[in-house]
Amino acid sequence: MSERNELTERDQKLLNKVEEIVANGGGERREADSLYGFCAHLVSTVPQADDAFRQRLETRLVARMQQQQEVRTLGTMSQDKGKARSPSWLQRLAQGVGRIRQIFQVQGGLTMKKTFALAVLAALVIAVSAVGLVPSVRAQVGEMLNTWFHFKFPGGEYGVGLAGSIEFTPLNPTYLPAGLESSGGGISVLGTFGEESIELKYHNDEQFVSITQTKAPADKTLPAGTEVTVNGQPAVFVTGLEGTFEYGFHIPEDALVETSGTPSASIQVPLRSKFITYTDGKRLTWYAGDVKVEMLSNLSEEEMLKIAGSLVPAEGGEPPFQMDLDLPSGGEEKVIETEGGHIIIREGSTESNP
Amino acid sequence: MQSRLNPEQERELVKKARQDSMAFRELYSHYFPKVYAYVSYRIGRVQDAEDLVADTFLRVVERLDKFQWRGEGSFAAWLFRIAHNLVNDFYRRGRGSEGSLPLEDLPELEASTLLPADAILQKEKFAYLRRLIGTLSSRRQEIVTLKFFGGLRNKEIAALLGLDERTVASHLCRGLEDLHRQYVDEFVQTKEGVANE
Repeated sequence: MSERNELTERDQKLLNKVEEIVANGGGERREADSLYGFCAHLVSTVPQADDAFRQRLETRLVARMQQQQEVRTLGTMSQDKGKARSPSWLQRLAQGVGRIRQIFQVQGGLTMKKTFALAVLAALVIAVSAVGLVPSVRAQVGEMLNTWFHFKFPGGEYGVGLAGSIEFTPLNPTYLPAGLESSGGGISVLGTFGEESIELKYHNDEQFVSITQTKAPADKTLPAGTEVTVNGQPAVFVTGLEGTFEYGFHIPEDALVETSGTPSASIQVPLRSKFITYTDGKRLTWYAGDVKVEMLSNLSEEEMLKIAGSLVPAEGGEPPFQMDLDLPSGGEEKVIETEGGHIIIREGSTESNP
Repeated sequence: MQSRLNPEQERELVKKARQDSMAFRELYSHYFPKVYAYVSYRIGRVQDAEDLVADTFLRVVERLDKFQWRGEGSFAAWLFRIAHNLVNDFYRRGRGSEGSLPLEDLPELEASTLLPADAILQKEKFAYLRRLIGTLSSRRQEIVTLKFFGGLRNKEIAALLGLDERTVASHLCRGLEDLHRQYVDEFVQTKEGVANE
């Protein structure tokens, strides 16, 4: 592609004027039929947010910030107690492994969704690149890939690698409402505050269901709420919940990933977290043997109970593949050969350092 | 309205904002109007723009710990990359509106506009300029909106889009010339025509 990018004296003058106009917010009134006047006109047509929205968002952001700080504090406390907890990057890696497996099996293999798969693969490697060269951390990755579960449901099968061992057999829904399974619903594994848990997530554009499982505590208490039963066991609905459901892969914001060969398209930050904001959320909590199950969803209570009643133990097995975790150190490129092409991974962005 | 933070001040603010809500609020008050203006021009419908602006800042809160200062402008480039990616994702999912939007769905403009302080006229102007910008190539649309409504420097736009600074400058000049030419052809001449009748 050839773009004319020579700058004439006139261009330079225009650029200087634009900087001045942007800095002054339009400055003096000019007739918009001159080029500079048009620039001033453009900069003076700035959309302005509703002040109530600005303030609401600010409150929400500060609350989120404080919530994150509390989570960090709790995480530190649990580590202090000597409980095993996977680092956050390892949790993200576990999510990525699940997703790659999902693409291989549900969508018919690498060739059918190659761009998507390669993008995830690249993102996965980036996710561990900061620590991948440290031998002790690499050993943890190996350990993580040794625990593997398959999750089956109508329309597909997912596999997921777990970070370390887990003290209970996770459960797998055999029923999901139509549409959720075919929209690329994800699976993730989270270590929460020193307690291993597994979270299965499914979604379409507007609806979601998140099933979090942890080892049941000795007292098996339930929260206050509307009492129902799941497979004959007592369960509780808590309704009227508001929040944001997040799904998708976490990629560093400044990561630049490019592919060449086949596919040849350049991909910049190919997959991102996405959000469903809900105001009609419901949480269903119950115990299935030694597993505490919490299902959060904006589906109807009837659908949630149907999903809950369909949970069966997931099958264990061997990891389906091994990842090459030799990653680039600062500033270098890493080339991964793949079927029909290769992926070039660079850490960081094209931003220049000072 | 397009004031900039001193780089050292901004660096310090970003560092503090990871723990200190006051510092975060200051950073937010500085960047919110710019992100809102940029997203509004790219998206059009005020409700969608608000959703994307909220998502942008939520991500900032979640990922601020991972942000690495790389000199002057690096925070703005990082922040707008988040917004830019969300906007692109919005269009990829087919949620963008191709046709013209009803005026009531469009955002309000700042009161300091050159046009008469009539809300409907202002919205019509916004719709017109947005349509005009929409005739440019997607790269030039991005550069013009980042420049005029995001208030970014060419260097920051170059970092954000992975382009050479000179290429950004060239796209900006050519884009502005194209916009101005169309503006004169369509709007000014129409105005003169009406005045002569």
